[in-house]
Amino acid sequence: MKRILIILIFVTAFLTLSIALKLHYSPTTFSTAQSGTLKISASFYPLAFFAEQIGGQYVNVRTITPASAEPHDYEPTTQDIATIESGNLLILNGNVEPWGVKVHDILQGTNVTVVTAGAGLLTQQLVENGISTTDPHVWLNPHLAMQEAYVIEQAIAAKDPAHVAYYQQQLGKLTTTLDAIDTAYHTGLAHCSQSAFITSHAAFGYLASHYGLQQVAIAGLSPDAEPSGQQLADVSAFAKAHNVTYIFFESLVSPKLAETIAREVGAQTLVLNPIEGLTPNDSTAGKDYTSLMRDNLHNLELALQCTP
Amino acid sequence: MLDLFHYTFIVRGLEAGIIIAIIAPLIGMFLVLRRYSLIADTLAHVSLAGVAIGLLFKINALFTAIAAAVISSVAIERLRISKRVYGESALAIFLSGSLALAIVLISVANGFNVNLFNYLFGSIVTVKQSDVTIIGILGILVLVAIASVYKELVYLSFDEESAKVSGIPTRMLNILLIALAALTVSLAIPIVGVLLISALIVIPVVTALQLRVGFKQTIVIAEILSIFSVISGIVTSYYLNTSAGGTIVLIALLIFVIVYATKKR
Repeated sequence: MKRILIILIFVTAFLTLSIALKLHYSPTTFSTAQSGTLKISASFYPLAFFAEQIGGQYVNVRTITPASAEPHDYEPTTQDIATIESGNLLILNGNVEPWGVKVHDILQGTNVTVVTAGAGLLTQQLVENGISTTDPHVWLNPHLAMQEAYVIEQAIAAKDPAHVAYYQQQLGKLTTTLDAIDTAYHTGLAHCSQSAFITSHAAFGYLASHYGLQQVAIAGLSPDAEPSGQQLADVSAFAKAHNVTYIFFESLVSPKLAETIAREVGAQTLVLNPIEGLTPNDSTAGKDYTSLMRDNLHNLELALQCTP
Repeated sequence: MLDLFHYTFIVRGLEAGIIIAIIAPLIGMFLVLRRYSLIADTLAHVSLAGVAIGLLFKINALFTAIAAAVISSVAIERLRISKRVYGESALAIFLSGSLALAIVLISVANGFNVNLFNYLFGSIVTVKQSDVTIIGILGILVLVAIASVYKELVYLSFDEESAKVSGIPTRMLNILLIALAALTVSLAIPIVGVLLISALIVIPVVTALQLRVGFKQTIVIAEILSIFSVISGIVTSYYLNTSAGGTIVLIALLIFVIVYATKKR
């Protein structure tokens, strides 16, 4: 009995030491230095980007889904939930976050407000194997992104009414930027010899329908869904029939599928970023939502053989 | 330092974890002594099939997991008694068979791959208040059941033949024990997950057995170790940002290694 006690004390000491070391080297949750600011958790990158743009100096935004993780299958850790609970506002897109429903239960009885930026915007359905799922990828359509930004601005302003004028002004700036992207897409995609593009994951439905394009997806709405052999054959046949020269893949998941099809039909691969996260490479290169949207446009123009 | 107790979901996870830490070694004691350690793992896989059924038909996965585990625990025991297959073969059949069923059901329902990860490795974040209540009530049920047939179970564990001769309904008791194990396993899934559950049931008991003390004392020590592993595991995993289930099991294992290494011969 005594020995067990000694061992338990030893183990406790060991664990305490490792915790202390960990806390010393990488403190987590919101930095306390910026007290007085609104603490916002955003489920993944574009929402965090909008919140940062709108909130500016008055907010402290943390992205829950880490860089280079897929928001469709990221599970928040205990610390993530603690971060959310210690903040004022949680911004979700809706239908992307597998933990989106559960988090409402978890946050019951706390003063964290949950705002679903995509609520009411998710109008498109995608039918996979006879099951229809709601497509959540609204942030890839600048028009819908503006509406998400508006919802976020309303939520931030409601939490911090003292700076409403500032937030409105910032929203105005963001809307102008998004408008400019929208115009660029309209003009850039106006004269193209093709209208169908093949992507690895069906993330571009709202973008495609807005600019009169057709999206053919190898996998479904979730980027890691494995397509069956039949689906791969169908997509290859489509690519051959339409003389598709580029197959898109995305940055956060393996390009394996896109490469398989590209080899099959003799096409090349190109990145079409669903902007679900900012990889460390992106951030060092100084990329953000707006520049990635423009990169996407550039690659679309290339793949669809558009002439200005 | 202890800011984590402000978070309601961690408190819920701890509550559920402690209840499981109390009942797991109690069941584990009898399973280990009867060389039945692997049944916990088998039942955990069966529970996964139960979880898949629950997710497919949108019923509370805890209930379907319990139902699947309890029903197959009886089936496993019958298969074992029938003597037409070896005991461990019965376990292997159910272990891989239910995993196969689970994975097929999951591909039929395609779209809860994410939830699956929670069930495989556990996540205290997913414990709802209603889960704590259910775990609490069923935990008490397991405790009461064990207490009421405690003497018979001990007898059975050490000498099944003479227990039978002395008129103890061994078949009924065996089935009861396995059914209780099934219940415990399904309850523990949200915390430590399917793949790690048997560790929580078996390791503290095996560690306590190393000390070679009396039956009751062994149970008490196993209880202490298991509760310690769960609490320290949840706290540590919070600060280290690691999986709670994995951390709990590693701590239990660390204690086992130390006890084993420092054992007086």
